[in-house]
Amino acid sequence: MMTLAIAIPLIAAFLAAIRKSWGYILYAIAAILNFILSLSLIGAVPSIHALGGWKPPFGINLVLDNASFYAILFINAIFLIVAVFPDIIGKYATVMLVLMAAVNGFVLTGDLFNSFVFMEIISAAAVIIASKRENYYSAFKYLIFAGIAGSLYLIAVIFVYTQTGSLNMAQAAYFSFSQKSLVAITTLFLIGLGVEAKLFPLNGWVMGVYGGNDLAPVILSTAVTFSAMYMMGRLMITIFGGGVLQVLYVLALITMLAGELAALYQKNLLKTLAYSSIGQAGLVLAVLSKGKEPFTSLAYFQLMNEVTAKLVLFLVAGYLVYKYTNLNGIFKSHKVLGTAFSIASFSLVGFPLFAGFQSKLRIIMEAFKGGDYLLPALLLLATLIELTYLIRWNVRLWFEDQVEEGEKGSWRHGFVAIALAIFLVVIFFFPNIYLAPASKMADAITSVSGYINIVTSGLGGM
Amino acid sequence: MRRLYAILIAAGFVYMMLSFLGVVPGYGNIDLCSRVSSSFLLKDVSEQNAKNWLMAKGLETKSIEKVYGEKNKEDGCANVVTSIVVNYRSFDTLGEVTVLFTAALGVGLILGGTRRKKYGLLPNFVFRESTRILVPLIILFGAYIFVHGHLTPGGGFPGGTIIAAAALLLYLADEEFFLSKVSTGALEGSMGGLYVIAGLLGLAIGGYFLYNFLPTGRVGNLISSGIVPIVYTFIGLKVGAELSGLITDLHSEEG
Amino acid sequence: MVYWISIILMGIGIYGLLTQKNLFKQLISLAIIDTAVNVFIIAAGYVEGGKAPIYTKALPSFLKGAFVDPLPQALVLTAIVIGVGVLALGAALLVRVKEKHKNLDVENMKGVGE
Repeated sequence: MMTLAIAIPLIAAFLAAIRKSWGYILYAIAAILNFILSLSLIGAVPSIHALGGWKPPFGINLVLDNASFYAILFINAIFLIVAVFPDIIGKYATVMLVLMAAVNGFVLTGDLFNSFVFMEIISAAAVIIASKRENYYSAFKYLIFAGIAGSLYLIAVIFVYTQTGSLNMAQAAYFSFSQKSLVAITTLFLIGLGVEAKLFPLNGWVMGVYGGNDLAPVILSTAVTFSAMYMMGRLMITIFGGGVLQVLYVLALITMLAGELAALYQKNLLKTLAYSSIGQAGLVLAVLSKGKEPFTSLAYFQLMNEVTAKLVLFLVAGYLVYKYTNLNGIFKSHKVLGTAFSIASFSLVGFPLFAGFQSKLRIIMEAFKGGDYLLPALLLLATLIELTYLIRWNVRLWFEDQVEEGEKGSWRHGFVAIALAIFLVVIFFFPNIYLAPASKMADAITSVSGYINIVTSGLGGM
Repeated sequence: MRRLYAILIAAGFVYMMLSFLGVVPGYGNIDLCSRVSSSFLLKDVSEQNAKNWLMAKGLETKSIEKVYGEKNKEDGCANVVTSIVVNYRSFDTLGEVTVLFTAALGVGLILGGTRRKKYGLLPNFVFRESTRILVPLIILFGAYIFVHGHLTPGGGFPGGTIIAAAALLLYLADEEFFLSKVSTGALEGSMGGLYVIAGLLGLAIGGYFLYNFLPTGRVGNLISSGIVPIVYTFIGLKVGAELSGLITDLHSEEG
Repeated sequence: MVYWISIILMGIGIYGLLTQKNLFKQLISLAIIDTAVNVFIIAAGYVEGGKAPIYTKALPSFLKGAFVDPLPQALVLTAIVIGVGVLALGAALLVRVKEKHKNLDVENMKGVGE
């Protein structure tokens, strides 16, 4: 069943190549089917699918456990939400279909080389999406970064192969690597995944790509970032536990501060949000790099909150930036969009009454409990910076004198943005909507023996 | 200054990689029996105890049997690399085909011209006439390569590339020649779709996506190894269409 | 030895990426890194004296040391095709960069930096 999550969008993409005009319809159908499919997969957790009928260490297998189930559910929900906007997708529907297949495959796969292949599809599709609106130079920069990342990821995979004799993740999780080889492998994987996860100093592409058009940030900062963070946890915690997690912690803290500081000095709305998403990625990575519960579940909780808020922010910002040249006071004519934007930015900062408060507060409390004062201090500092620039943008967009005549807004944007914003408020009162899946994901990610068991017991019937 | 930093970073990277190299076994000095590929070579994957493999290293000892010319030797490919590419790890190949598909699609989206670029140079008479003789032969040779992918070195990707070389030759020889994007797009789309459908047929018949549901025949015969030559034919035609489409895009201009 | 060659090639590629101001040369540097990685993978599967892993009349059965490791070769086949795709995409982007910014040299490109 779970292969269909990859096969449906892929076959739709091939069909869309035959008739270009079918692109959007096929994308909408595939997004709906994939979302229903991923909902229905809950009955199949945990299980594996051995492709071609070849048993795991020999062939490729897909692993559906709690972590990958909730990840694909969340990702397919984002793809479904994006399907509401045919004007944003435009002629990029086929590329979006390929991206959908690749992200699903990247999350589900239980094979290291297969994950490399899917990562390359993701970056190829992402480069094309980034080149929308003649944003060619940024897309090229992204291509170079992604190319280096792919090469190093591939070398890491080969290192694992020379050690364990197979490319299977479960076998690598079982295998006891020597300390030296563990450091080598995790360093290379860290660089390889760091580009998609926006880790300092590999995030030079982000502002150009996110700041260059309206489609790229909406899908890359949400679905693709989520899959990269999932894979980061999977590789760094489940499969190669230990390794260079401390290095990741330090780099992630630098990422967080550098991203927020850079956002403070930005004059362009989309680029501000791009830097802010670097900062938020740094926070998630720092919490994730603690490598144990309850930090892992809080990292995914924070990630879900952030992704939801960013979806709203980028939808609104991308819509307005390409409609008007001067944004001063523009929310006076777009009250619904403005409300959604403000709610999402408050949630990003972590005001009470909004979802971000729940996750940030928990992170600070747990870090204090664990005797770590560096993370809370830096988190509070980053939040302060975040507060400064987001309030500044809100004031500018709401209260400054309007320069341009407002046009009639698109109801799709208004509806989706306000619905997601209300959802963010709902999460503050019922945090378990996100926290329960996040802690189930974290349980599956931190339990090494559980992962190996799923694969070995999946072998039973073969 | 910039050069100095670059040298330092590159040297640091080389130093890091060289220090990592200590964990890799020496060149040419590897033990195949500790790797899964020994089972691919012996064609005994379905007899191996996968659980033991996952839990501890090592191959179950098995007497060495003759493979060439035998019947029902697992997937029945004489070329073990092909059997890995199109059978044991066929899903990777589907992904690989998708990368190429995405790239061709992206080049089309980015360049997106509809008219042939003209250079105003008339090619040599000998070249033009010999092209007409060579093109069918080249296409035939490409088809030979991908049909025999499971027996000899080669397969869908080299075969498709050779077919695209024929398209390139036509472009060089004739100023007016222009491949329609609609036809190459239709060919690559339908071949990719057929590949996925072959996988879904395997799911319906054998219960596994990309399952090899056809009889495998005798190792070394042309008609053998089930769906492998069929899939390689799809890949060959798809790669040929994709690369020809790439050449068309790079030769086109808006207008 | 072959490992060293591939690693030094990677170093050359990274040096090129950092120093070259021409975007096309950067793309070539990326291609050099790709090639170096492929050399590395093939080297990781070499068996002293091994032949290509194809069963023929002359080599009808699996003997120890007769064949090189087939799996890295299959992986490289995939990696090469992926590399081709990425290069084609990069080349197409550069055609447009040249049209839009009039130059491929980072320092002389028009309309970047704002």
